[in-house]
Amino acid sequence: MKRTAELGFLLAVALILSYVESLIPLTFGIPGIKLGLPNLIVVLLLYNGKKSLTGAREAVLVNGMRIILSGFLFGSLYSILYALAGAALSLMVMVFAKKCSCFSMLGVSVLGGVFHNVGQIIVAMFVVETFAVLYYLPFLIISGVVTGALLGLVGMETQPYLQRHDL
Amino acid sequence: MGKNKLQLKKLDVVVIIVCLLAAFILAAGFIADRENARMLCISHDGKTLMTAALQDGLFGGRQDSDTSGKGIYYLITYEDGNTVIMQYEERPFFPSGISYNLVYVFNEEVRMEAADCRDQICVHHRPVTSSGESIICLPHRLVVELTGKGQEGMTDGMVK
Repeated sequence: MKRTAELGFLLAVALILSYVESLIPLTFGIPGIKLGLPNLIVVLLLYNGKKSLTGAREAVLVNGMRIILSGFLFGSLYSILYALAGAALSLMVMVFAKKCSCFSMLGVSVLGGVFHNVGQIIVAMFVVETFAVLYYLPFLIISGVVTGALLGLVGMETQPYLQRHDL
Repeated sequence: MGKNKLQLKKLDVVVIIVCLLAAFILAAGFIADRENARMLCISHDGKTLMTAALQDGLFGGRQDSDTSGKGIYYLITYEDGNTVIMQYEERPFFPSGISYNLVYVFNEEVRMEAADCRDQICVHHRPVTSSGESIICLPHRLVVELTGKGQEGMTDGMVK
């Protein structure tokens, strides 16, 4: 029961981060670039599972709920589709990266950021039926690395506090 | 600051470098491929609506290199699965109650002048100029693409 409340709390935090992100106008003339703030919660959940795979399961649960709720609140059905694809791919990669334990939280977060964008590009390619979207890939990879690294750093700083309070 | 210093692992750095390298190689590939755009192609749902070649003078202001000249507007409307594209010399009025995208071609630049899509990403997209570049309106599944493939025997290398 306590865990349910904690997950609800983290879901609320992730939703607020989604909202904050939707307020920041990041238009570099290239679509798809964003901070990915909610990914911080996902990474922290991955690292705070009580058993080896509970972290991954909880991350999937919270992030899935977060995407659906924030999609209806601040986005559209299409944005839910893109976000789900990006999140699915990035979560899979992050779970594997974390499991092989050759990365720190920073590396896991960077991989998550990059593959989130790769997943979105793949869906966009199917939706508009053109390879033209691949043109954005280099920019989106760089933005994924930068935002992933920043969030990874924040996550590494946050982690000790979370563990101290057994969240 | 936490008492533990940043505990980076070697592979973290490797991943960052590999990702950045991949991005730069891809970008270099796209840039090397780049040439002056010769065709404008507008497609919806993967179906081509219209292509225009440069030498048709369709790129406003390009043929006479007259920047004071008028550009060309393409209005794309979507009504009950019926996609219609129209060409205008003047900025057209938007149809009421029908979704639309308005593409503006002027002075070697193509941009999305207006659209009633929800996210407005295509409208904020910077203008595109060279081949391979495109503006995509995902909510309307519209692709405005510039390609280098033109007909033979056209004028090469415009100098201002």
